Amino acid sequence: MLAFIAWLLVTLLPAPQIVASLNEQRSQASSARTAVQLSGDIAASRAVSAFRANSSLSSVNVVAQGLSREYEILLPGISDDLADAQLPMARVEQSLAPSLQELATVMGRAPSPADGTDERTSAAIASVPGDWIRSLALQHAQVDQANTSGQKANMLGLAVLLAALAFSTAILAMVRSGGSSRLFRIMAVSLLAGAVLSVLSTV
Amino acid sequence: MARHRPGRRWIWLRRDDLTNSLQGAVSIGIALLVACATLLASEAGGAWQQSVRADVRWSAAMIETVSQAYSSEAPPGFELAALEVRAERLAAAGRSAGTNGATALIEARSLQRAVANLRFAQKDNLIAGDKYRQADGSFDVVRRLNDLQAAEAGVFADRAQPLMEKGDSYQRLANVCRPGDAHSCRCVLCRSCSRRRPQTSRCAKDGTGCQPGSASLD
Repeated sequence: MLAFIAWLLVTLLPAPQIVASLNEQRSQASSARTAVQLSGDIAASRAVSAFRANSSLSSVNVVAQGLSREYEILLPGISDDLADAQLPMARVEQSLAPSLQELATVMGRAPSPADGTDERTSAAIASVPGDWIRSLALQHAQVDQANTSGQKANMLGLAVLLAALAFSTAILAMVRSGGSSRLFRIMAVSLLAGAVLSVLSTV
Repeated sequence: MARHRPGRRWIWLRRDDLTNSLQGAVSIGIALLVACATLLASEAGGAWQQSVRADVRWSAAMIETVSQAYSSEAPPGFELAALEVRAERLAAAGRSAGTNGATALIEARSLQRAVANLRFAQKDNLIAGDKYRQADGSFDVVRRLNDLQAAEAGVFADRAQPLMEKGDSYQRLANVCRPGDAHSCRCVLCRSCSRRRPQTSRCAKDGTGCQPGSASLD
């Protein structure tokens, strides 16, 4: 009976072990893909938002330049001729902001699939920190899932090994006689109990 | 009195033989199923790893092209367009200011010359020629990005998801090879099952098994 139970465990346990191992591999692959996509989303989004921020800053710089020019004109020691020549430039620079801002908006607009841009690229560029946090949470869940499945596969592997040893010692107990048979039987029972405990730990 | 009756012993021996043969046959059958499942599991793992590799390649190419378009080429493009707008406005202001506009006109001409110098000998980028020029004086960065990605069309062909699905199909087959797992066997047949009985379980795309009553995920 002992040998039969051990045999049952040895023959039936590899199947759930394969399943747990497969789930681990899939979760690992999914988590790696999510991590790659997350880093790509952040890099693409940052590149475009940096361009928008820098071009907006350039627009502000031109206006600041115009204001500074007008301020300099008003300072004592500047001749009227020089002031008259500089004033149109100062006025132009101060009025440039809306036009430059418009340029920055047009050039920094987010691409969409309607523009013929790859859908994933559009999504990556349009991604915002909220999306990254969600992706990170998903990646963590996938890593946890891989850990759980990996532990299950390891425990089932251990159970198969213990059941195989229990099967061998149960056979030895059957062919031996006297004290050694009793010893082998105790060993088989212990190993089988270990195998069952390993299986129960995965439930 | 005989201790063992020969006829009865013969029957027991035959029963033992039968049990042993059955046990051997079951062992061989399960070993074959497990071997089949292991091979399919290996194929599934390989396909999933390939999908990760494809995703890494795609992501690297995507970052490279977006960075080329928005970090390397768009900033000089914007500066150029801004200089042109500034030069136009200064020229107009210089002309309307009469004698006081000479400095503005000189500044406008110097900016126009600077723009011409910046665009001189530019080749295959955002500011080269008028390919990406728009009516409002800006440059079409999105079209430039599309062209950069089209130049690497092979990398941008999305192969990661099909590979993931290939791995999933291997996983489903491996599940069929699991001895004594009627649930997974049902899962493979779930397309035909759900056609007949839509309210019954359907296969989850991630290979985790059937999902009772849920919408099909594949």
